[in-house]
Amino acid sequence: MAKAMFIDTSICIGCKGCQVACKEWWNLAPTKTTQVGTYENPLDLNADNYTRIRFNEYEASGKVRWLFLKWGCLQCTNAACVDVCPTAALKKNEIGFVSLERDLCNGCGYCSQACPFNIPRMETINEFTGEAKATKCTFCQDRVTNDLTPACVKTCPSAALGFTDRDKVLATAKTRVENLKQLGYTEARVYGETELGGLGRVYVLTAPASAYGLPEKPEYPALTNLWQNIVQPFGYVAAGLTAAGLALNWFATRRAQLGNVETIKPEK
Amino acid sequence: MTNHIADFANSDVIWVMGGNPAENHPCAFKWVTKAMEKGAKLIVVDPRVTRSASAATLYAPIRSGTNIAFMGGMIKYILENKLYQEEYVREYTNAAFLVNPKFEFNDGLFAGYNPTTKAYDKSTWTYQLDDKGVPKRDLTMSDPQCVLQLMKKHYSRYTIDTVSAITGTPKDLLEQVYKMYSETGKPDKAGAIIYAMGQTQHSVGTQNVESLALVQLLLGNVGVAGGQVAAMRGLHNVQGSTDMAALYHNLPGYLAAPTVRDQSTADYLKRVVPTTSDPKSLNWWKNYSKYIVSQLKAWFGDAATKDNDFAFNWLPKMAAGKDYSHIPLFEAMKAGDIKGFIVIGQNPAVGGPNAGMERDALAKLDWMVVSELWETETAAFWKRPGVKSADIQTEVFLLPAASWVEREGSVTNTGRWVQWRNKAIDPVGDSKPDLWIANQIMNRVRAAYKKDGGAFADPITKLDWNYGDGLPNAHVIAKEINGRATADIKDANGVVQIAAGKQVPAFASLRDDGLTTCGSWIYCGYYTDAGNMAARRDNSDPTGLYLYSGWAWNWPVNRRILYNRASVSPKGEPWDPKRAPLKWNAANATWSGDVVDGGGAPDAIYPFIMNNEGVARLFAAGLAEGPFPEHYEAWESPAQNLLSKQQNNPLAKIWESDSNKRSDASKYPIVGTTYRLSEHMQAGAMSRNLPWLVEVQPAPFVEMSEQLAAEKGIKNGDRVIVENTRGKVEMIAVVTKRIKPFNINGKAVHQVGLIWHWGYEGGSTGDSANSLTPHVGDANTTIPEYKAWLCDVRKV
Amino acid sequence: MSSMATDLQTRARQVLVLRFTGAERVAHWVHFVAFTVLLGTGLFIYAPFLKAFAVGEAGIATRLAHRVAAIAFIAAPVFYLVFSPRDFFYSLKESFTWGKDDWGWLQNAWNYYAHGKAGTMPPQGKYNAGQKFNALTQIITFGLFVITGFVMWFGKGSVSPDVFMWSVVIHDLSVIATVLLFMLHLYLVAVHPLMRESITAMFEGTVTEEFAKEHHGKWLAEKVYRKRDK
Repeated sequence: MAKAMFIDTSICIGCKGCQVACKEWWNLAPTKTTQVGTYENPLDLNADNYTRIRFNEYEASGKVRWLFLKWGCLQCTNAACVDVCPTAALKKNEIGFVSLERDLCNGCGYCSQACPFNIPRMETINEFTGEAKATKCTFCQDRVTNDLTPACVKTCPSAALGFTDRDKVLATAKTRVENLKQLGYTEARVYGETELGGLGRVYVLTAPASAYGLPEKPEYPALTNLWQNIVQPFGYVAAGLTAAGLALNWFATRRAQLGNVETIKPEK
Repeated sequence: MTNHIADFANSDVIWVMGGNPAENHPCAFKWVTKAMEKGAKLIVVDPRVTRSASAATLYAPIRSGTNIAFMGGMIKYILENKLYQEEYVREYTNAAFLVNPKFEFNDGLFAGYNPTTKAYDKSTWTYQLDDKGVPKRDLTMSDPQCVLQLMKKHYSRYTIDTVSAITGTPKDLLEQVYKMYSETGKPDKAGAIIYAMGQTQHSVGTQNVESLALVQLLLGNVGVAGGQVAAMRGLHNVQGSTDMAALYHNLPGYLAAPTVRDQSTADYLKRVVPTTSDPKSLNWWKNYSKYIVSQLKAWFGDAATKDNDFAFNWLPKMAAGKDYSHIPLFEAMKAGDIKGFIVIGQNPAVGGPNAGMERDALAKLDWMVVSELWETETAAFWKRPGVKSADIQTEVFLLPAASWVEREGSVTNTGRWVQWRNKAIDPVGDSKPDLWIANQIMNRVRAAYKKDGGAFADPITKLDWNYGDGLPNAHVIAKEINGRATADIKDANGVVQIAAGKQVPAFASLRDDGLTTCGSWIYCGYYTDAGNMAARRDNSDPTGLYLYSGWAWNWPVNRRILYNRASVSPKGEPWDPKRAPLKWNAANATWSGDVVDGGGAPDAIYPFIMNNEGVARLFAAGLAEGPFPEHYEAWESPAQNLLSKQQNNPLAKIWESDSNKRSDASKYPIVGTTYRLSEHMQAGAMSRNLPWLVEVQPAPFVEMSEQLAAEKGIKNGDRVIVENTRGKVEMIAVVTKRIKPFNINGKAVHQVGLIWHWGYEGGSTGDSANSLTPHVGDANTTIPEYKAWLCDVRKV
Repeated sequence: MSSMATDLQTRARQVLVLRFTGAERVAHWVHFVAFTVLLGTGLFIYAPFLKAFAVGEAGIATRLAHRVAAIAFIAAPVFYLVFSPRDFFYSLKESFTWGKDDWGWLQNAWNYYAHGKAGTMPPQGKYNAGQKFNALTQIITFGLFVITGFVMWFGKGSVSPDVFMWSVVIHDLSVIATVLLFMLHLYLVAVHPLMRESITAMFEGTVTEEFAKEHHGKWLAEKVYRKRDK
């Protein structure tokens, strides 16, 4: 049964409890940050930060609002990262998240480049040898496959986060959006129901996706499509055809050669 | 608080003003969210769009230091539109009481002001009494001398135009807030006002809170489910430490600290016990003598006898009328009057007002003991940047203290829940629990007195303090706080009610004859022979009102809502049957639901049993500045007081000196305020030493509007200097749309907000915002005016 | 080619033509080994059924081998340029010089290579059109491999995702192109019944005069005999 993370931005207070709980569960090293004029920090995901809150100020019809968006892997159904992963370190799990098997990751970094949301980050172990490991939120795969909720959901003090069956999450999200619209949040919407085949994170937004810095219509990357579905199969076909041609040539040449020689066989 | 934070979920409208619970009390804010999911509205009034405001149904800006003006307008709106809950106001407040005709108010001053002593003669702030000594009432509340009419008259000056010109809140928003919140005046509606340091940390802090209480009383929002004046605390055990007399003017249980004039329990009780002539007023404090005597018995044991007045004169006594609070303490230190200083769990070098001055004052000490988890700025003041350590002669002892997860005991949260906590891990290294440290100090001081003697040794040598040499058992102390019988207590027929040595079940059994002990009467019942009530963990909720009566223990007597008699009409009918914490069952003459305040039939007594009138006070003579809150500008303000000639609170406590100069608006035109972040804790020692928390908020900053930034040529993320007459700090500028300039009486006034968690020690260092805050205190409590002062800002 | 006696005394004195200098041969074999290693280790992440070689300890070895081989791959032409600059530039120039002989080769290639019929095949220079095409492809893909390889090696995170993904696509297209030619190349020098002799040019540097005359007649006449006859 596919599950999903419910993220109600109308309730989130941006406390970053989820950020710290994530670091605690995964025992991730603190990174050096600086204050550059925002409540946001770290300023980006990295190999030691799988999730973070994005802060956006949004001014509409004379009202200033402060929007908080819990960010991290969106666990797409049509996950480009899974498709490009050459070692199957990334897989779509039936619970509804993209699992990451660290031991299988060979550090190619294709996932981090193919992701339409720029999520997976490489933990570089050796720059020269290219030894690296992809990192990203997996909904705490060790927890959710053992009937626990992700660490961030567990810690959320405002209950803005939830984790349960995807259809329930969608139903809750839709009801919530209806309520918000009645409360005057006319731009309220669900994000993640259909995007990229359905996201594992289902957001309730109270403003347009762009106000949160979300792509209005995230798209499966065209290049990944070209590479996965055209270039790679073409390689096999071309190599096969070449081998066949060469074999044909061998038979033809050998025939020609044999027509021009006399082969003596030993007596039986 | 009268109710618990869980009770927010019962509210129809929640008004946050002078607080930012989403930022500073996220777990409490969860209950606000729960209410909103059920359709409740959230109003946030704050100088900037805060984390709380991001969730609000209605947000209105306000200039720091103008809360009374805002609430005064609200009171006027409620009274003139008759939006108050009439029966509640008439029966349960002193609205109908007639006031002394000589009482008056004139241009910012109430009757009896003495400009030389800067104090009031309160002899006219009284009720008219009938021949039995009971206050006269006009139940039509139309007599011009009745409290309601005086109140109406007082606040008639707080028009929308005037209030808007003072607060900078646009008029339409003022009216929207007033309208939305006064909806809760209907009997079947309830509203909660949530506040924190944004109300209290002003030179009019107490009156700010009083103004919230007046609004709540008018709307019938006290003593009911979903209605309260909710104080959000900065720590999990602020309530507990106040209960246990962390404040100088109290003994545990809010008994008054004795002064030198109290030469006997009789003197003392005469001074502190209120009286009443009204038979329906329970006047609970009439039991005062039982509580003080039981407390003395808990402290001095068998040495406290009837013959020695239960050792009353062994208690330390204050000079009458002297202020021993934080600011005067540091002023005395600066003057060289204090030689030794023990600091436990506090960091005044970061958290104290005018922190630069307070750091300098520490150098006047001979010795200082700091008991802390980390080396704090206070502990390290002698080696702080910019000082020559060789010039500082103070001897500093740093005791490694264990944190709360390393020790056992109870904490009391803001909803008065006393909760037992187990030790999770052993203390790290050589660190020791506070109990161990206190025990060592006491044992050694007493040993020294026993060996060498000393002036007036009895209070020390005869203190009933026998916890051995190691870590005292927290359960033993908890039981002492609860109290026990010193001998068999028998009823009139000689039947033993409580056997000698047994725990006292509740404070109703306490006595003033020495037969009971009790460390704090309000905690009586918390650790009885039935066990440790604070350790209870039953989270069932049979009433559906989030009372959780089986969870932990709620002082007093596990009552979840104080003054809950006010939730029913004098006839015993709940104002709101859907949301009734109490039900009167006339058939068998019992109450069900919460533990009722007082007892007896509904109309037997008045509900506000702690007041000698028996009702709540809309006219409160106990406060220093006057019986009605009146708007005065902060000590440092960019504006003239539009309501009277009295620019500042005439009774505010001000220590003006070279190190505490007033910043003038001509040179420092910007309003400054301070606040905290979700990511950090108070003065920062506990969070700035945790790398994960430093990562999420690495440095202090100052928030300002885009307009101010443009005027000053400041860009977001620039380093800026904020300065005034007391100091200057360098911080990162956070330029935001969330703050807008205020239109104050036609003039644009800017405000900036500084994060105050930082100092020069620990894993993350930065300038302390409190270098800028003044040594100015509220007239009743001397709480410092951290939240409204003047400064200027410039780019580095 | 006629069979030859092992007893050199009995063998008629043979004329051998030097086709590739020592430096050229070293460069070729370094290139060959590097390319093979790159191809092998690269295939582990191209072909899912080989992923076992791309992970764990094997993955570490694979990743290192691919990078070491990449350096050798880059070093090979540099070596060629440094130690045999004249031949380097001659070969380079030849590869870009196409004329009517090349058209003639193309017209006769199938009959020639499948049936052993020379037909109207004109005499060829040092490199015939097929070899030129191979060389050109190698030169172009070499550039693409190096650029896209470096992008993937060092540019992860600092170049835009589009640039990275284009690099992956181009790297793979280059692999496909070179692998096809590599198959043909191997076939001709190691399997093709009539062409196998050419491999001696890369082992010993020489081919028989006969072979040279037949396959690179124009080169023999213009570049070898004329020089000898001078």
